Amino acid sequence: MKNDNMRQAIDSELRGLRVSDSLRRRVLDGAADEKVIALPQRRPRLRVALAAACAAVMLLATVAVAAANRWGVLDFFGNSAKPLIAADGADAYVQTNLGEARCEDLVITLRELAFDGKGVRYVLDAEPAREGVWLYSDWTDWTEEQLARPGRVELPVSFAELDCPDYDGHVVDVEPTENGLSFYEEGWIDGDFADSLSGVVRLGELEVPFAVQAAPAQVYRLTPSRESDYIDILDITLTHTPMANYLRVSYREKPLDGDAFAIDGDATYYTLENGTFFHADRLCGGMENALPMTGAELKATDKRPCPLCLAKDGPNTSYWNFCLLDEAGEPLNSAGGSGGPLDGDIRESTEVMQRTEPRAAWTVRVKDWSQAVEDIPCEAVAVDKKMP
Amino acid sequence: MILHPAPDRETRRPDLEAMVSQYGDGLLRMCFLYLKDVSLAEDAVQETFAAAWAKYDSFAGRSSEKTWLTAIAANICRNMLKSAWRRHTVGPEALETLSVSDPDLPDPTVTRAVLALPPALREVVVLHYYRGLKTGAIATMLKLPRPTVSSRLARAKKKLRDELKEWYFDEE
Repeated sequence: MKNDNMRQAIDSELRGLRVSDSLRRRVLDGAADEKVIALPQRRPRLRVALAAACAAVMLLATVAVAAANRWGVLDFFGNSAKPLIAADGADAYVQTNLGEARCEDLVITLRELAFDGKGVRYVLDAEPAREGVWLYSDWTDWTEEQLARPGRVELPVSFAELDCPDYDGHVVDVEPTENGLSFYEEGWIDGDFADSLSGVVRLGELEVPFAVQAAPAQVYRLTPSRESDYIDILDITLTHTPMANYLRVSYREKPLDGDAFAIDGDATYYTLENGTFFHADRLCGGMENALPMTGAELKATDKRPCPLCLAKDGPNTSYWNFCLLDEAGEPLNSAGGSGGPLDGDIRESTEVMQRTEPRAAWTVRVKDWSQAVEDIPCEAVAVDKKMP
Repeated sequence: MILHPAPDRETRRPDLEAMVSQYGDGLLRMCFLYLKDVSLAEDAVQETFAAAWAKYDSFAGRSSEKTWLTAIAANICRNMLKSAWRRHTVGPEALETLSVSDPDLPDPTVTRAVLALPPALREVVVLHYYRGLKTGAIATMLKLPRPTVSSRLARAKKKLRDELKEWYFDEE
């Protein structure tokens, strides 16, 4: 993908996001405000809801207390906008003091790491290796008082990074300690659940190797009570761990029926020689070198209508996602997920859900990213228990 | 307090309006990709233009106006991300804050993939691929070594290639 292609694709996808008249007025009126001109970086947010402002105050207070006690992996769980909630006793599966590395200025310690077969969460402490200095990272809130302290040593990187096969990190956080920083990261490994994990956590040039066993997990197979209207569901598993629920759905898009998109034999469409789709828009998705083709010619091929520019009525996406509904019918928070090709046309989506106790029956909600399209009741049967 | 000479509002207001018309949408989308929230992105755009207005006299024309505004917006977004209650990132559900029910809007596949990147990678992708900045300019803007920017771009490209496979990459 070239720069222009991505820019065009994003502009196309976000074309509904434009400067509104009210924002334009805010900009022009705000620029005329002397206070804005005097303090452009410090003006209050205009649209922060009161609740959010209160939450921020409470969070800052919590941060201050927690900083004194050193936040652990499980402390960071509840600090998200859509928090995971670890099980009681989950701390038994948090592995501690996994190793350290140092250089002249800095000593890093992999203080805690929790791995439940899928999710990886760790806290790495960075502390000065000598007296009289303190560590600075530009992604952290610092008070004027803190910034005025002498002995500032700027870290070469903004985040710690975990490096192991198939790891994909999503959530990061940094908390200041007295003279150093605690880095938190949360992510997931692609593919199957693993019994163990090894890799390194890196901060700049320093790295700490680790090898850990997974926390126990209980796997359930969910059997849908009916077929989906939109996709062929091949398999649903729900894995309970002390840290989260993981909902994995393997599915295949249903073949388009004849009425879904009627090819006009006289119309001109565009396609690439080896492309999967045909398009109404010659530049759809930023593609280049598309060739015109009549509808009549297209009917002799197995090309499919582009989900972008020839979307049929109703939901149409190659990437579906899923969530569980709680007993009140509300979706359990989704903390992230992944989708993508697995094998041919079979796709797999793994969603990280708020942890709950196992149940005999669940409702799985099918979403096309932006909206729920159907709810499917499922029966849950325990199939596998993985012990550390 | 930062003191600036009082600008000539009567002569500059038309410039500001022109700047909003020319760069506003792109900046708004860039800020959304940074912040994953439409309201915050609008705040960031407002702050960007306020800062640009205030600092216009110091704009020496060493870069294009677009690059200059991008740098201001990136700085403001970074500051917003640093705030304690915004530091956590969320997944592609950020798109739910957009009005994507419009049937004329395409599936946000590329946007979704970019939003799913870790912040450090997302930042360089937004600046390089979406705003069109060279790695040297990004390195200067973010105060990072140039190899770090290049390395982050390479890692981001790998993730995007995996994520967008069979959607865009097979159409090249």
